[in-house]
Amino acid sequence: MSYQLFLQVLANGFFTGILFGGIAVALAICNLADRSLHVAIGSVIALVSFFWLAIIRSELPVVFGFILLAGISLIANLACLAVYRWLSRRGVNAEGIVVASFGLLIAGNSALELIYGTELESMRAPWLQGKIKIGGIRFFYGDLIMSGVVLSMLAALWATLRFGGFSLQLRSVFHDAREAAIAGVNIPRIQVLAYAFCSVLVIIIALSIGSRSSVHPHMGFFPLLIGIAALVTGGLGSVRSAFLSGVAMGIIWDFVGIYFGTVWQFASVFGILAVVLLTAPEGIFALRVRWPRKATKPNV
Amino acid sequence: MITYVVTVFSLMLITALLCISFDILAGDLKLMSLATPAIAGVGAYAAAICDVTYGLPLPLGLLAAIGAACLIGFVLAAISVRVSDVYFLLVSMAMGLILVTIFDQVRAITNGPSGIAGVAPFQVFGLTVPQSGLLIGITLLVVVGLLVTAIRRSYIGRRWRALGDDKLAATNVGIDPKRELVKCVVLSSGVAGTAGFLHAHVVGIVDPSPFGLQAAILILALAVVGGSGRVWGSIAGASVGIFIPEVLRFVPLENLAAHQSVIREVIFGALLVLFLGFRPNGLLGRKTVTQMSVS
Repeated sequence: MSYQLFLQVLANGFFTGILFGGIAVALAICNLADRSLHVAIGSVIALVSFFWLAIIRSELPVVFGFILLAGISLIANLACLAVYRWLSRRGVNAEGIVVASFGLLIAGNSALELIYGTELESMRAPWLQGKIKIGGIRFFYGDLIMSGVVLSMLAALWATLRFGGFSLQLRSVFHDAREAAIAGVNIPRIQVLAYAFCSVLVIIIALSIGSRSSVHPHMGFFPLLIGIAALVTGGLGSVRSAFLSGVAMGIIWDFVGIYFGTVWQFASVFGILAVVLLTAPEGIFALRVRWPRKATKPNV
Repeated sequence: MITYVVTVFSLMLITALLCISFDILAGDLKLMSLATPAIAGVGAYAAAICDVTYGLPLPLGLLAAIGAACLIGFVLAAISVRVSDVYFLLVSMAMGLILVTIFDQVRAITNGPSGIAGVAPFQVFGLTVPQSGLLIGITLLVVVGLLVTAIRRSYIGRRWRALGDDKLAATNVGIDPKRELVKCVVLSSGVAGTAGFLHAHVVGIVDPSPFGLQAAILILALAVVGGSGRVWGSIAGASVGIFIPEVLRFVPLENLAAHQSVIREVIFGALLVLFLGFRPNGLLGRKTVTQMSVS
């Protein structure tokens, strides 16, 4: 393999990885808030993409279009949260809520298929297909812009988690919701905020997937599976691990696609997931190397 | 018309076997597997290869289907002994996806996306082909149902339910969770292999398309709707899942009949959520000890 091709695949894989990392972060935020896997995010991605297509074709102002899109994404995600909370109050455990989320996913995707049909739609804007060459490596404007936006959002999330009280409250809810409630954490508010952030991330992910491939009712299903694999491989309970794992998955995805064919991409990602679950179920990025502490003299 | 009705019933029997296979894990050990259709696919391919390539008699094809499926189930169990709950769901999903990719790509054995055609249909006692398929299907369902019910009523079933209800307490009284998991997964896989055998000979062609993740989620939905812990629950779920879309064909609305498979997915996705909330035992599921003591 030529060095040039290697670098090109690495660059493409990095951008693919940022997309997968974004999905994994959205899932991680929701998992921190309510300990469930928000699998229905796959149908919300498709819903947002179809609405964006409708907004473009109606020639509404872009700003108004984004506001509308944000509202739709927020309503869809909060509706899913309402269903999970209702099931939780009915005594359904975490695994049952994941199953219900799968139910929402297939119902949502099938409803979109009934409304919009199965024809592939294109969201590609000509200006996004422009490219620049740096050091012999080709970068598309669309990839650069979308990756920049995703990274900016993740930077904002990092700042919020690092410097605000939200992080502590979110972690307390994840580790023990009952104790967190006793300590005064407003759990419903935390969950709404987490899903609200997830909603904004979903918009960017939806536009990114739609501009890279095509828009159809099941467009969110396969990226969702990669996002789940990335989240679990990185380790549940860590946003940073989910993102890093997503980037790694993206790079592996593109390399496997080039070397072994696209049909082996899913098998490779899920093979890695199976190996990680066997060897390090807490996640590969959750592993820490503990250096032995120096023995301290007793203070006699 | 009779051929159509008989064929629909045969499909219901295949689905019922898949639901029983899923429910063996979900009803007793409280583990949900998304690999059930893929393991059935292994059985279907084994049966098809035995018939088309080697011309073996049906009983040997059935044994080969069950054996191949049990082997894959053993691999899944060996991988899954270290994980539980949600992670088991993910491992099974991973295995299902890998198996379907193998079906699609290993053309030397499975003939790729085209599949293996020309699987001989059942023909017994001078009955027509569809009626023979129905008779064999009913026989297999009755045998599997009696076997699964007998195992559930035995000490093996009690161990599985103990592990499903409270793993820590069951381990403390001496039940080995790993060994019981392997037994349960292998039994579930054997039943799935039987469903695959039936599918191969009823449909006549085995290709990767019916064994993917969408089918796994649908089986999950039907098993939840029908009810867990009882064979009758699985049969009820399969009946609802197959007969309701077929009834939609006769509704005098052109668009409805054309989109019946999509409408089925919408209905079952919604039913899955509603049943989990309002009726977690499903239509004919087994009540838990707590529910029985309260009532």
